[in-house]
Amino acid sequence: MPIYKMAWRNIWRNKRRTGLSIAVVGFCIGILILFIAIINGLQEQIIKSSVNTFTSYIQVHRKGFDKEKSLAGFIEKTDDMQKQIGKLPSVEGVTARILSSALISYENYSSGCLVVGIEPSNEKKVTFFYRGIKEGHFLEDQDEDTILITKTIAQRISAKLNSEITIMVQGYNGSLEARNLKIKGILDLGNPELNQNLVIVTRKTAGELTGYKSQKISELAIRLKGNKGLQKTTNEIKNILKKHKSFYGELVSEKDNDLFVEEDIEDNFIKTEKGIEFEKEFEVLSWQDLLKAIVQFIQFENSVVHFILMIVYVAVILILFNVFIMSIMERKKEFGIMKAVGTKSSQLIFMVCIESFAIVIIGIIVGSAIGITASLTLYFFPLEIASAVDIFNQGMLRPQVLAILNMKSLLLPIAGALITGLIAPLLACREITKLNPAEAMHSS
Amino acid sequence: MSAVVRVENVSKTYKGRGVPVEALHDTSFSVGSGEFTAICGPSGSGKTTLLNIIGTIDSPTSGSVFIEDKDTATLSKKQLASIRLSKLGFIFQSYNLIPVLTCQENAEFVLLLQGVTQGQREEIVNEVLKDVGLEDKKHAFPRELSGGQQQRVAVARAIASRPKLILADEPTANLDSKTGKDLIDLMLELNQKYEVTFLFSTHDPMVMEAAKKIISIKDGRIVDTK
Amino acid sequence: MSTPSSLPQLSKKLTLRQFQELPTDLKIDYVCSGVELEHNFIDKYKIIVMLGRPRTCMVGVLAYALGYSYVGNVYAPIILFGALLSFLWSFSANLHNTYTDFKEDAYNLPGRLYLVARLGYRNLYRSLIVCNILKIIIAAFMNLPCLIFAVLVQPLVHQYSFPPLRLKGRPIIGVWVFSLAVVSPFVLGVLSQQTSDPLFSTESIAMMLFLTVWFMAKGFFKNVPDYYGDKAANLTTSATIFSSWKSASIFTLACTVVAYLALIPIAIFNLVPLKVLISLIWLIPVVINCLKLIEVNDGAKGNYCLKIDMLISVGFIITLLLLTKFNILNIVVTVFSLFILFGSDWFGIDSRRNQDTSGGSNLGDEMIIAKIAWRNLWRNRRRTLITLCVMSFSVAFMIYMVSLATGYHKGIIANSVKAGTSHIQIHKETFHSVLKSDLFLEWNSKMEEKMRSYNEVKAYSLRIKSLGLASYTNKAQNITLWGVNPKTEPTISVFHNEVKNKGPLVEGSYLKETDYLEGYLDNNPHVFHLPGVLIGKKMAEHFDIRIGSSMVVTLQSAGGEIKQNLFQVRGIFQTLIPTYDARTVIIHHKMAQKMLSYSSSQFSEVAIVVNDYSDMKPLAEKLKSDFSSSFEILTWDQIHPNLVDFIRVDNVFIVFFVVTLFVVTSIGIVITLLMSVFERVHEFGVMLAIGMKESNLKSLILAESLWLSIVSCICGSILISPVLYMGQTQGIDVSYMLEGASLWAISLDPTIYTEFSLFATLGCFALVICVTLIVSLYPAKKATKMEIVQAMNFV
Repeated sequence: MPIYKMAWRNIWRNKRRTGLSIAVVGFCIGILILFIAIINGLQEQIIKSSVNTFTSYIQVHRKGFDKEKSLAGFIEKTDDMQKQIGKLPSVEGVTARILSSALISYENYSSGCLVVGIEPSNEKKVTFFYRGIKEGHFLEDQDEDTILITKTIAQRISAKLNSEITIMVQGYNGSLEARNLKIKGILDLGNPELNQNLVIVTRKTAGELTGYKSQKISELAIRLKGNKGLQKTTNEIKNILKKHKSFYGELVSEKDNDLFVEEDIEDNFIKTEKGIEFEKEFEVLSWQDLLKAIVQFIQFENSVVHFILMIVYVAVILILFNVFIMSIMERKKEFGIMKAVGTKSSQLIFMVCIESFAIVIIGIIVGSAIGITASLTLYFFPLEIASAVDIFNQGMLRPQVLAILNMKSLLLPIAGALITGLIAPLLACREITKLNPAEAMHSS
Repeated sequence: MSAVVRVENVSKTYKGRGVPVEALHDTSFSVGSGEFTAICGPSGSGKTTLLNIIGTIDSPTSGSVFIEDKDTATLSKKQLASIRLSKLGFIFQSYNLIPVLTCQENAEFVLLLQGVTQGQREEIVNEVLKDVGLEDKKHAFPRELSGGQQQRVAVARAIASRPKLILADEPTANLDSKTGKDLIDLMLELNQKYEVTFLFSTHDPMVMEAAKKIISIKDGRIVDTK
Repeated sequence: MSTPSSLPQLSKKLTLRQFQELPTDLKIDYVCSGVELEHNFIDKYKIIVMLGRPRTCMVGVLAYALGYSYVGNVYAPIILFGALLSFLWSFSANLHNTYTDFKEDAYNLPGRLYLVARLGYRNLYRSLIVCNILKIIIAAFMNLPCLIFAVLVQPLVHQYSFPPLRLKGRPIIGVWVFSLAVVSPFVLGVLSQQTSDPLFSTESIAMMLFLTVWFMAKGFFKNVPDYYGDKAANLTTSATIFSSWKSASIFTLACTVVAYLALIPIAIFNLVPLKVLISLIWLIPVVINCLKLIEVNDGAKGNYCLKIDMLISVGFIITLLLLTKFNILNIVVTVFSLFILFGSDWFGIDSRRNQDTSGGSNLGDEMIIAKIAWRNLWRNRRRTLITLCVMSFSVAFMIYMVSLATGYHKGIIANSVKAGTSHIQIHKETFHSVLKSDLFLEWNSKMEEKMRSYNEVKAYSLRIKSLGLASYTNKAQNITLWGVNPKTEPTISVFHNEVKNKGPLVEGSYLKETDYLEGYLDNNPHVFHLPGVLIGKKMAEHFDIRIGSSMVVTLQSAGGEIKQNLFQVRGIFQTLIPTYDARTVIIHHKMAQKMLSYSSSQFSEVAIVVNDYSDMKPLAEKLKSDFSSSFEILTWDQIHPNLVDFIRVDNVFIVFFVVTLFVVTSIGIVITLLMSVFERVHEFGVMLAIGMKESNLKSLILAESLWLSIVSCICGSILISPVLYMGQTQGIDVSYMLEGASLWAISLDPTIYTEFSLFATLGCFALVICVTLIVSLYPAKKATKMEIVQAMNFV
């Protein structure tokens, strides 16, 4: 009789115990799959919300802009770049933006803010904050003297739709520019940080305020067709940008004015066939670089999940230890007889291991079925949550309890169970090797 | 002398998976107070079944058992437990002591269940352990005792609650003849001392010799009473 | 061992058996004479518990939970006291009943007579007194309204069976008093609120009326099974005023249905949420049960219906409770109630249970059962050890998680308070959300005096807040400007702390008293003194500015003019909130007043730190009544709803995790116990054969699991204590997560400390023990279901 067949019959000798063991493994797998899928869903939504509301998938600026955010960090003559990047197969849309701090005031009230000059029609292809219009309308490409402000700022300066506000910007060359603009729309971006800061004008208006005119911009924002190939596209964009390098000279800046080139700056030069060129003139940042806080949040959350997984499986392993020891102790006599008639210890161990795996695998099947069903239910019928928690308020997407199944959510719990299946019979195996046939046969 | 146990037309049929087996057929007899009676028969003749039915741990298919004129069929499970506790004592073939309790505690166990207070319990247990000659083994666990000693503890446990009737199911079967003889002598002694009724099932000639009344049973029927 | 059946010497102590063989009349005389039967110490308390009938007391506790669900702001200790008081409320009523109706009960419930005999009539009376004193003390611990209520209503409740009124004898009013058993706990629940809102809302009054009607119907029901008994004794009850059992029970059915349906109008008037009507699903078993009651026409069977009705009532009130407010506390109350309800049979702590045993119960000796259980546990050492491992591991983990959560959440609050939020902020009107500079407070000496008079206030400081723009070279940044008083600000926030004190200041120094002055100080013509400013690290990086450099701050004054001033950077601070570091600029309040054209008594904010977090809400209430209504008084949780929500979400995760681990562990326990039960089936058979009762056997198995859980609680605590100690002293450093920390609600100190909470840990223990006992019911049931003969032949 083949050993695997014996093992199979053995595990059904004590149906109640086997059933409970399977229940333990199945429950763990089911609940962990659901748990990880929900965490996945949350993370996915947080990123989506942030990326789609304002950040976009990839941003291109002059190196250092992300940190300094100053008007000195412009990029020039970007139409060509925009066209080339737009032609990449994975890119859905590209838009240019001008960013600058500003002070807006209405009657007696004023508020500092971040003014963003956008290309309205292109922006709609990259981000979806135009959907956040609560009153009025979104900007049109040809608009000049109009502005969109967020509801929080509107409240602060007591401005309403169609009010005429004054905006003041310290331009790129240091001069203070002011202009009167009419409020065309009021936005709610879902993110308190953005809501407290953002005002939107057209690129043309912003160009005039900042002194950038039509040539210079602060950043290019790029939307991809999907999150896949983020790194690949980033590299492709870097390749395109290698050809554009017109302005670096000015940037070796105010700080190190003396013409002495320090060593660390020298590192920025690389030798090419054509002589010395500047690399790293641009920074091409994907959302993973831009949303550091969220990425760190997710990393930490993942380590918490792994920790939970580990703890649960330690408990399961201990329980299965017990199950196998009990099942061996019950059959001590039987094992004694088998040993006496010449069965090798290794064969008995093999049998016990098969029993262990059979239980774990049935557990995996049952658990996965439960976990997947529950996850799919939550995928198709997500639960709305209303919460003020910061992490849920990254953008206009209102978070839901939504389960997203992926390889990670399936493989992690299953791998854990398989390892459990490996470790669980260990103690029992030790017992088998120690077994003395003569004694075992006499035990009752 | 009134009857402690009256068995009237008791039949017992076991319905296993196969053919129904009739273990007892229309059995009637009675045991009077203070008797020392043995039910004899070969193995499989139904004597253990009969004893179990008298002991109220099994119920007859038909017929009735009266313990002190009370029909056991009319009683609830709880009342039966209460009867076993106060009226009956048991001695089993394989001793069946509770392995985690010492001799003293084993003997004390039934008293505990009866709700006897600490002081009285101690008194009674000391007395019965003295009766069975095991005062010095009071604190030993069953596994530390020989078979004969274990059976003596079982006797002590049975007698401690001062039952009206002690049912002993082949008490000597697992013992050698010397120990067996000693045990029978002990039980006879107790029978005298406490006026307890003993009912054995056995096929040990030594027991039959000692018994004052013998009920022979074969294939579930009483064949002889003397 | 013969018993004197005639002429007993009543003054003599009788043994149990002697007592049992007395005729009932003599038994009563014996008990009344005050002589106790022999009993041991533990029995005495157990008997008191049995006579108090805990399972009937759970309806009261649930009603209490329902009561406090109607009001907010109830603190945990008060809830605990309240629950205890509600429990004792019914408990002492039951004791009273036993005491007064003891003679009637002697015939109906002989088991109870026996219990009273063992306890002693005088001891019963004493325990009654103790119970009542205890209740008053507990009520005094809660609050004044509760105390008054308890003192006033309690005597009325006791009049149910006590002379002189003995309201039991008056059918309708008696039933009403009976209904106080649930209504009073409900009222207590409503009274245990802390706020000064009107005591009773319309909603709670509606619920109170409903409960009255509902429990009065229960009172009618309760009297039906005693119909024949009472009729024979010529007692007038709500049942015996009817001519037959049938009409009495039909009347009960009608009352019950009407009582339940009374919920519908309440819901229609919007006094309870509509979803509460779901609980009317219980009407189906209720009606079936009532119909059965009409049919049985027999006291004993009627009592069985009564028992079912009580179960249904508990189910109903639990549904009502959870539908009214679904929170962790109410779930805990529910689980606990169910545990007592079903557990009281298993542990034999209900005195009515013994009505069918003529001779009374054998309590056995718990100590011996515990001893046997303990020894049984160690028969298979390895298995027990592994099981203990699993359980200790879960216990340890649970304690750790709870301590971590406690410390973490407290840290979130403490850090956020220290980072400048403070516990309470007072502003003018809606200043907090709009930060408009024309919304300022006029601070005068009267207000200052008032502020000093509050004991709760640890410190307070006045601030000015405004929106503006900071610029340096050609860079600009919109900012939130804080004008602070360098003298008082350090008492409420941490911006004066140097880096070595884990303060947020990473470079430079804090503002000085003179940091508002401008010009050549001390007639020193060489140094032009600029007012000082503190900025965040993010802004410093953005501006690429250093200590000593000067930057421009632009503001709009209250009058609407744009004002600019030059400031010198004194210090750079770093918190874990990126937006805060990028946008907060701190200057001297006098400078801020100057720029905003405020007078020296005009401020935008009063920031208050209280002595203890629990003082926060009451103080806010006081401030609201003491200060003008044009002020907005915000507490920490109103200023940071995001953090409050974060803590809530975090709690959900922790509960999820703990529950998961517990389900796993429970299955582990079931496996072990089942195996150990099946190993010993033969032994159990023997035990049953020699007269052990099934209930004793159950107790034995439950005792084994009780031991397991107690030992694992101890082991788990010992295991986790070094880790907890480390967590409490060193903490867990998460500073590597610089940017993400704020999303985990960490604002200042990137170290998470655990905090041991005795209250929570004891709760964990209770949960572990309850769960273990509940799961071991299954093996216990398996063990007792077996036929003795089969069991004895089982190998």
